Amino acid sequence: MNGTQSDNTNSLSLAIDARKAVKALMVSETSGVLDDQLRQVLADAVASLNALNSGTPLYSNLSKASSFESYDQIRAVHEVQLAMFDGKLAERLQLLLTDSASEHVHENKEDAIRFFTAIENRALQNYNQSFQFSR
Amino acid sequence: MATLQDQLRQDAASLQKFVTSVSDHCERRSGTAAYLEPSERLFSYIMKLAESTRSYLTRSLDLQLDLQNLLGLRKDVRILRAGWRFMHRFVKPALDADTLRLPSSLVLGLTARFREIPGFSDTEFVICHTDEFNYLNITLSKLKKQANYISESVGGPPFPDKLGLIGIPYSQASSIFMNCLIPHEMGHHVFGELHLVRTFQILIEKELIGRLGESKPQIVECLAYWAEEIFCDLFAVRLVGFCFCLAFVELYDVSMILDENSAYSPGRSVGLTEFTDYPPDLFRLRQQVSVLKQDRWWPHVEEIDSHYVRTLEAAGKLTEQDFKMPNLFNIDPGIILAAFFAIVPKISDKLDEITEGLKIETDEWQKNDQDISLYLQNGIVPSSLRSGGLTDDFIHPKPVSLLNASYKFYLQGLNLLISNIDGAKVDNKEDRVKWAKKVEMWTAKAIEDVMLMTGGFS
Repeated sequence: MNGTQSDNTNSLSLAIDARKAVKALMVSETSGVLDDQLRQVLADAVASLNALNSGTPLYSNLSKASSFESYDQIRAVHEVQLAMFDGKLAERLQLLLTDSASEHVHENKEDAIRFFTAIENRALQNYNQSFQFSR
Repeated sequence: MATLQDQLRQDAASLQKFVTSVSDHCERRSGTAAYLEPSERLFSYIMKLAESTRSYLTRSLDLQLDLQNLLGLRKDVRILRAGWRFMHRFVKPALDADTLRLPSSLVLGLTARFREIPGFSDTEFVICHTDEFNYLNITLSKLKKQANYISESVGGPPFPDKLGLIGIPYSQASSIFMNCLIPHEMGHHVFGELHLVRTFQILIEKELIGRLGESKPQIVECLAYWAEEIFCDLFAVRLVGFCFCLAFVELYDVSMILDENSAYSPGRSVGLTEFTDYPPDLFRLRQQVSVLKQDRWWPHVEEIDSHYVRTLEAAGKLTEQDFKMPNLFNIDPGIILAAFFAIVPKISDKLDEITEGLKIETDEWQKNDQDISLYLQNGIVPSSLRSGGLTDDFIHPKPVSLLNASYKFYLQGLNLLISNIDGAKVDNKEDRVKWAKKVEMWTAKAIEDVMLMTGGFS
């Protein structure tokens, strides 16, 4: 009746989506193609970063089953962005979606892999901490 | 120093030990315990997923992987363990809920009613036990995602289709009235399955941008959560009628808002009208009353002689101006509440849309209420009611009629039953406990009988 889950499953969802994105990005480095699922995750990450950075509408720009929607997920993305000291991250992720012929595409993919790896690690850490004994 | 391959063998063995420890509980479940079919499906799924995980680990270690892939496998092991830890949390609660520790007939009756909702005709529910006195829904969309990630990674089976999970307090196995709260959890299942959270997030975000000029995800999330709770309450009332509202008042002792004359007391309600992480109980009851009115239960409900109903009456008369919220977000709370109140009618609209075509059981209940009450008053299981006259025809009242009539009888008719019992006294608390339990037992038996006689178990 009060509350549904208190075990930080949103963090696990985020970690799973980030892991999938890393794998898909690595595949795309050799194939040169971004699959639909990867495009969706990239677009959701861009929407989430833009909402954080400039207050633009978030939810109407997310896919149906996005892992970038709940506040703890968004906060994890924000923390990673701050830790990467990269104010242009959203722009470069967007470039991957819109300009696959850019001369910086390889560099942008490497950045994206670093970003999603950091998201995966951060989200899994948050998930694990929700199970730890209270002090 | 062990090689990377050796390290991974250790990590894989550790994971397999953990996975097996979870699936062993399903495989070695007691032969003396019986489970409803949805639970059996869940256990079977867990066992198959564990087997697939073990096979995957064996296959991966047999491959001659390069350094990059070995390091990738280590990450996979980590996330698989996290996924299995998620599965871990509901295996034992489901195993604890065998048919001797569940209100099985009620669960089947409520599931049958739930399946009358268009689009949900083949949904089943696994009922789990919770340690806390709380009813909860394990959001299937989230559970499926974690489970299917494991499954896709290891080449295992997909999560069983149309299977919802609901937690009930372990102590309430034989309770009928308190378990009238289960439909609220069914509402969470609908909310998740139809991705309504996104629908409401978008609506709320628009309202907030209109008032604040920008999106505030933290506030959107909070208001979307309130919207979900309200939706689930309204859904429950639509599904089973006023028995849900009475159970709500009973569980949370909301009747303490009344004074000595059973009138609403603002002084006694201080602190009970504020929105915090949750919408306040009084707001929730106010909205529940609106569905009781819409579905034509209310004229009959307000005649019931009970302080629970006086509580509903009082909550139904409150206005939006009676509710407040503290300054949680450093933004004028009045603006946030105004945005939420603008959303509330849309929650009702969404409910109407989803339940369009669902038959409201008010008329059936009204037709059988007096007879059910008469049967209970005389200690008879009310599963086959004489249809009148001298014919041999019987009426088998539906679970919704039985639940509402029995709850009403429990509140205002128990004295009539107790006075029929030799040696029992209406002013004796122990006698009230004993005969209230009997009323619950007869109601459960009636639901079971009716389900059998009308093919509801098929």
